[in-house]
Amino acid sequence: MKAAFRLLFAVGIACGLAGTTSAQDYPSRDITVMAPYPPGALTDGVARLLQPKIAEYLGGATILIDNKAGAGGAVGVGQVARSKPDGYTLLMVVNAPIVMAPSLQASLPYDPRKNLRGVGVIAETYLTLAVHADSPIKSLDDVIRMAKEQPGKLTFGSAGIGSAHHIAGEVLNRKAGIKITHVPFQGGGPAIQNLVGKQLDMSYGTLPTVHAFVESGDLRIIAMAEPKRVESHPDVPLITETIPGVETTTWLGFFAPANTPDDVVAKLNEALNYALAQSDVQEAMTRLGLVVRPSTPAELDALVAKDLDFWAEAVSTAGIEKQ
Amino acid sequence: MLINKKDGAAGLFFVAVGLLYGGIAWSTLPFGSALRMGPGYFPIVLSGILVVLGAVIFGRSFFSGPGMPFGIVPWRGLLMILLATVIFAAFIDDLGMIPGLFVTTLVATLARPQTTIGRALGASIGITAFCTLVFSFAVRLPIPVVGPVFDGLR
Amino acid sequence: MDLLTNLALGFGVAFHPMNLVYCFVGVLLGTVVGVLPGLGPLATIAMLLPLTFGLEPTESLIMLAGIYYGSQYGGSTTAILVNLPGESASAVTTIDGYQMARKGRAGPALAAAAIGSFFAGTVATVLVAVTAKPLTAIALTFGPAEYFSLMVVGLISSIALASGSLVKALAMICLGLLVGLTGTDIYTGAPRFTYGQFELLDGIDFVAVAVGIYGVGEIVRNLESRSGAQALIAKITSLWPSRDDLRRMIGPSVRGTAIGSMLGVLPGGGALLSSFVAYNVEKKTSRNAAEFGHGAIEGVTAPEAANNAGAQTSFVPMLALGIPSNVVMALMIGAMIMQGIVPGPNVVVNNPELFWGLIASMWIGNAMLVVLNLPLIGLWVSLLRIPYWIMFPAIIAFCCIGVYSVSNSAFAVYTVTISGAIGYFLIKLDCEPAPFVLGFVLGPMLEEHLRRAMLISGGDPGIFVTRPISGGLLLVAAVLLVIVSRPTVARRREEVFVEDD
Repeated sequence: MKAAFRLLFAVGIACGLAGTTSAQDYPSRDITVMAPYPPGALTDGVARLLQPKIAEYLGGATILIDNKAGAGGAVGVGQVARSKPDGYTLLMVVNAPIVMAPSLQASLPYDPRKNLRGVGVIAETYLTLAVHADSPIKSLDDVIRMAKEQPGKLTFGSAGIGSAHHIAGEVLNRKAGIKITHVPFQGGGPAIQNLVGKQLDMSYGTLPTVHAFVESGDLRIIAMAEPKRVESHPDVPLITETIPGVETTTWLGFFAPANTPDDVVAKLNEALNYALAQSDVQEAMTRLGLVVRPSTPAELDALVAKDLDFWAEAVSTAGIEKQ
Repeated sequence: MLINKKDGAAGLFFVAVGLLYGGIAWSTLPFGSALRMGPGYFPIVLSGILVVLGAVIFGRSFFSGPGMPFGIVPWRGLLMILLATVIFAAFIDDLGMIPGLFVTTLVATLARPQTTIGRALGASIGITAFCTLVFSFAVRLPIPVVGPVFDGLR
Repeated sequence: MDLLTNLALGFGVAFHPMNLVYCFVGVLLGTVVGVLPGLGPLATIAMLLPLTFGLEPTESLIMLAGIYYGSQYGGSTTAILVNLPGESASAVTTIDGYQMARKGRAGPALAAAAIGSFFAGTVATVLVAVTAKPLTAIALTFGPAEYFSLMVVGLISSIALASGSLVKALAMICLGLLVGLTGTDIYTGAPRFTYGQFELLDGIDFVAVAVGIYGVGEIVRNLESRSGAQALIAKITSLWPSRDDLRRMIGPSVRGTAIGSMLGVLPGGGALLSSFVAYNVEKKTSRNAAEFGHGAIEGVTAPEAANNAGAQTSFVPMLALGIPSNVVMALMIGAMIMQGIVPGPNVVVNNPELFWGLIASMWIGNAMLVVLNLPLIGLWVSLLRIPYWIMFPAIIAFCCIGVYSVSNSAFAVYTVTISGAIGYFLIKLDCEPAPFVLGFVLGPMLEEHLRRAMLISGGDPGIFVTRPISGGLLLVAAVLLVIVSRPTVARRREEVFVEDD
C-alpha cells in the first residue's frame, strides 16, 4: 500500500498542474472550453494551444478542455448551446457542425443562429485537390477530359460523407457534367494515405495534410477548392477559375451560448485576439497549416450567417440527402 | 427428455437478436446488390447467419445432454452493481466527484449482502477520497469536485 | 554502416540524462495509468500535452511514447489480476492470464508478460531501426482489398479463441460484428441501429463494452459464491516462473514478436489483430494445447509479446509517414506539430536526432519497465489480498470514472450497465466474450474495406484475388479454415473445473 501511495505521489508531481487563483468579477471560477472532438483532433490541438494564453489574459483563470466527441461534433456543440450563458461554458470548433451540419443532418440538437453567438474567428485553412506525383493528371483540365472519356472510372477520396471534400467533389461533378466516383474515408488522413499508396486517382485534402507529401515528392497539388488564391501558394490555380462555384471555406471559431452578456463576450474576444497575437501561437498555427484570422464577435456572427446560406446551396447542388 | 437448458436459451437468444437486427435492417436500410452494397447488405447477411447459428445451437440442446447447471444468479448483487453505474451516469455532472462517487460506491458495496454498514461506509469514504485525489487533483478530469447542485450552499 | 551510425546517434541522444529522466517519468506514469482500470494512455497523454510545450521536442516525445508503451504494460497487469482488459489487445491476455491468477500463479503470469514484452520490445526496436523505410513501403501497398483479406484471416483465426463450443463462438463473432456496425454508415451517412439515440451515431465505445462484459460480469460472478468473496484464488505458490515455465516461454515470445512486428505497422487494427493471431498460433502449434483457456503460460506470453512488438512498430507509419495507426499516435502527431516538427516523410531527414533518439529510447524504456515491474510483481500480487468488499466497489468506481472520461459522456456509462447485464447472462450460458470482442472491433473495418474495395474496382470482385498480397492473404485464410475445421479442433468441450457452489 505504501508503495502504491508513493506511485500516486509521483503522479501528482509529474502532472504538476498549477492551482487555481481567480481575478476580479469575471472569471471567478473555472471555465470549461468544449472541443467536441477526441483528443488529438485539430480542434483539440488548437484549443490546447490557446488555453494557456487565454488563461493568462484572464488573470490566471483555470481553463479546462472538455472533449465531448460524438456525431461529428454535434453532441458537444449541443451541450454548449443548452448551457447557462454565463461565460463559463464556451466552445471552440471547426465550421462543419456550425454551418454545414444544419444542411446535412435532419435533427440537430441546436440551431446555430438561435443558440450560439460568436466570440471571434480563430483561424482558417485551405482545401486542395491533389494527385499522385506519378499520375498522368497534370491539371484540372486533365481531370475533366479523362472523366469524360471514362465516366465513373476515376475515383476521388474525401474525409467522409458530408465533409467539405465530399461536397466540393460532388459540386464539381454536377457543374462540369462529369462522373468521378466518390470514395469516403474516416477522416482526411486515411484518404491522403490511400492517395500516396496509389489506391485513388485523386483526393481532396486540407493543405497541412497534403503539404508534407508534396515536399517529399509523393503528391502534386493541381488546384485549390477556395474562393481566393492562397497567399502561400499563389501559383496553384483555383477550381472555381475553370468551373465557377466549386469552392469551400474551412475555419475555426470561438463561440459562447446565445445570451452570454456583451461585456463577457467582449472580454473573451480580447483574450482570444491577445492569444492569437503571440508569436509562438502564430508559429504553431502556421505549422498546423492554419492562418490566424483575428476578428470581432460581430464578424464571426456575419460569417456564420453567410456560410449557412452558402452550404445550404452547395449541399443541394451536390445532391446530398439530409440524414 | 434431457434438454441442455443453457444451449437452448443461448440458441433462442441468438435467434431473437438475429431476427431483431435483421428486421430493423430489412425495414429501414437499403440492401443494394453484391456489387453496389447498400448500408443494409452487411447487417442483413450477418443477421441471417446469426439466426442459422442460433437455430443450430437450439437444435443441439436436445442432444447435447444436460450439461452443467446454470447455477444461482445473485440478483441483489447484479441489481446493485448495475444501479451503481446508473447512478454515476445520471448524477455525476450535477453532484460532482465527491458526493457522486460516494453514493455510487456505497450502492456498489451493498451488492454483497455480508458487508456490514460500517464497512460499507468506510470503504465508500476511502475509495471516494482515493479517486478524488487521483482523478480530480492529479489527473484533473473535467468533473467538478463538488457539483453545481451544491452551489446554493456556498 | 549507416545503421550503426544512426543507432549510435540515437543512443547518444537517448542516454542524455534529461532524456533518461523523461523516459522514466513516462514509463512510470504509463504503468500507473495502465494499472488503474478504465484510465488509459489517451486521457493521460491529452492532459499532459500542454505541459510538454515547455520541453524540448525529443524530451516530450520520449516521455509521451513512454506513457504509451508503459500503459500497454500496466494494462496487462490489470487483465491478469482482475480480468479487466483496459483495451482491446489485452482482452486476449485475460483468457489465460486470469486463469493463472486464479490458480495462484499470478506471479509467473506477470513475469511472463514482462519478460515476453521486453523480448518483443528489444527485437522490435531493432526492427524499427533496420526496416522503418521498407516497412513503410509495404504498409502503403495495403489498399482496401488487402485490408479486407487481412481482416478475414483475423476472423477465421479468432474461431480458435474459443475453448468451448465452436458454434457458440461463431455466433458470438457474428453478434460482435452486428453490434459493431452500430452508428453512421460511412458510405451513405445512414444511421444504423441507433434507436434514435444521438450518442450512438458514432458507434458504441469499445472501452465501455469491455468494462461492462469483463468488469461488471466478473464482479457479479464472484458475488455468486455464498461468502461473496473473490472467486477461488488458490494459495499463491511462487512469484517467479519455474525453469519449465521459462522454457515454455521461449517459442511463444519469438513467434509473438514476429507476428506483432509485422501487423503493428499496418494502420488500423494491426496491433490489435496481432495479439489475437499470436494467441491462435500458439494454441494451434503448442504441445500443451489442451491447457489453453485454463491458464497456459504460452497464452499469456505470446499475445503480450505480440502486443508490445505491435506497439513499437506502430510508431513506424507515424514517424515515417505522419500517419497515425491509432488514436494515441494521432495525439503524438499533435504533440510533434506543437513542437514545430511537421510529421511526414521528412522527419528522418530533417530531425535525425529525434527519430533515432526516440527509437533508442524505446529500448531503454522497455528495459526500465522490466526493472520497474519485476520487483513490483510482489506488490501487484499482494493487491489480490485486498478484501473483496473493498476491491469490487473500487473497481466499479474506477471503471465508471474511466469510461466517463473517454468522451465525458454519461451515455458511455449506461453502455457499461447494459453490456454488463447482457454479458453476464451470456457468460452464464457458456458463451465466451473474446470472440465477441474481436467481431465487435473488426466488424466495421471488415465492411468498410470490403465496400471501399468494391467502389474503387468499379464493382469487380476480382480485385481480391488479382492483387497479389490480397490473394495471398485469402489463400492463408482458406488454409486456416481447413485447419480449424478439422475434427481435433471441434473436439468436445472438456469439463472446466467447477465453481464452488
